[in-house]
Amino acid sequence: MTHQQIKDNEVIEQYVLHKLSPDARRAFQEHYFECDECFEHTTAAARFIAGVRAESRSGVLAARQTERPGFWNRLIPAVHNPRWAMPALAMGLLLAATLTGLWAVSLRRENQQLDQRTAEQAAASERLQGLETKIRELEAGNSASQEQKELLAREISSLKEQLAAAERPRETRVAQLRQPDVHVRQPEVAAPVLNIYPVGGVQRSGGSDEINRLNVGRGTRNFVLILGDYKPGYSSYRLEMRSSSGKLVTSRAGLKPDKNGELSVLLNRAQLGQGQYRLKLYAGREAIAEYVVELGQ
Amino acid sequence: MPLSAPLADRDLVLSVEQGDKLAEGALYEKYSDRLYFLALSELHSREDAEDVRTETFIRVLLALRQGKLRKPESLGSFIVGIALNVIRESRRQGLRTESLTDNEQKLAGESSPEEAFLDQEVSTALRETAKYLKPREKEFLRMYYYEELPMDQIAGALGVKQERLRLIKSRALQSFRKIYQKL
Repeated sequence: MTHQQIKDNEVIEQYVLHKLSPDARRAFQEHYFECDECFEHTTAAARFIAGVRAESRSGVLAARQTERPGFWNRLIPAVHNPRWAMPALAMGLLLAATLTGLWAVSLRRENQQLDQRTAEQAAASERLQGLETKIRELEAGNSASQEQKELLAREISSLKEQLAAAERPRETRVAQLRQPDVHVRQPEVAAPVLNIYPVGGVQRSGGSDEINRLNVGRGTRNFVLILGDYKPGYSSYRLEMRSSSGKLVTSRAGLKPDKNGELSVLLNRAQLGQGQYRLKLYAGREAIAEYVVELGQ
Repeated sequence: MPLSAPLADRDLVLSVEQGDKLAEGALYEKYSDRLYFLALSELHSREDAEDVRTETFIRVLLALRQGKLRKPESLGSFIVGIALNVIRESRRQGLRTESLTDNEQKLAGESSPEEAFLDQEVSTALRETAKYLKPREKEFLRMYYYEELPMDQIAGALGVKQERLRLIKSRALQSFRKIYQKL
């Protein structure tokens, strides 16, 4: 290993960093045992590298805030080095500028149209108001001829059309907004209303026994039961609906009679399968009536 | 490279063979630092390096007194060879006698390899050197020596050519050496 080879190949640094092969390491050790200059440089390099590492840990050489280079630190060298970076950046900026310009032009045009329409509408409205005032004056004085009246009426009609035309785009938009969304379920306006009567009552919705037989189709979403013979006089009522097995299906609290004195409850058909149910009506803690209903298909 | 070194070594070897105590002292004076540095580079422990230095000199002097060195001009290589043998033996012995405390110290990172070369003067010289470096130059040194990133990657990250980075490294080291020598 010659002195020149050591300089050219940065052997001293590689030795300190333990990057030399075992043979090269041994050769360099033998060299610096004889070479004062290389020995001095090697010890200096070892101290320097140890110092850099120690000061990096302690923060003296910590110029960066984060371990990884930031976005701009990575972008700027990329712009300087690869061939694609600069054209790509230029294209991006050009595209952004073009889109911004088009948007600005479009916005300006829309504003102009809006201003023009507003001005037309205001002028027409003013003329209409003037003509109506004139008609009232003529009618009051009864001095206008039939021809004058017809002329004025035509003019008023024309102005009204203009105003209507100016309003049309807004109305169209409002109408669009009012269009029902096909995905939104429509409210059911014709829910079946059925009378039921308690066990021991006189009237029945069907049949002669104490079971209220109800035919509410599967397509029906909700239906209303009017609870007959419910013993009025209480401020509110509570209803519990249980299946034939005694399982609580649904309950309603705070039921109040309507202005006609009828007590009703709205039920969801989908919650109720085919079968028999017992409905118990409570006033406070007291059970005041019991209804048995059988729901058909 | 000093051209007079081989001649001096031959004289030293002959004098030691003849039992010259002053020659033995001169031999120690000439190779002591190199031997210590070599051992420190290999073992990263000042105590172990001191032990290696002592043991190596004992063996070298015994060998020279017995006339075992056939080529006196190869004294340096001869000493290196013996030192590396002592280091190997030291490592083997160290593996056998390594205590739990040593393991705990290593696990805690208390003795990193470069710490063997660190002292107050090194820290002072490095801090003085850093004062004259630009932020990007400090950044480079940190990335290269501490994070051990490849030169091309650092060049890309900092937007500097590799040749420029080598120059920065060389200048920083030169500045450090000057400051360290003055301390």
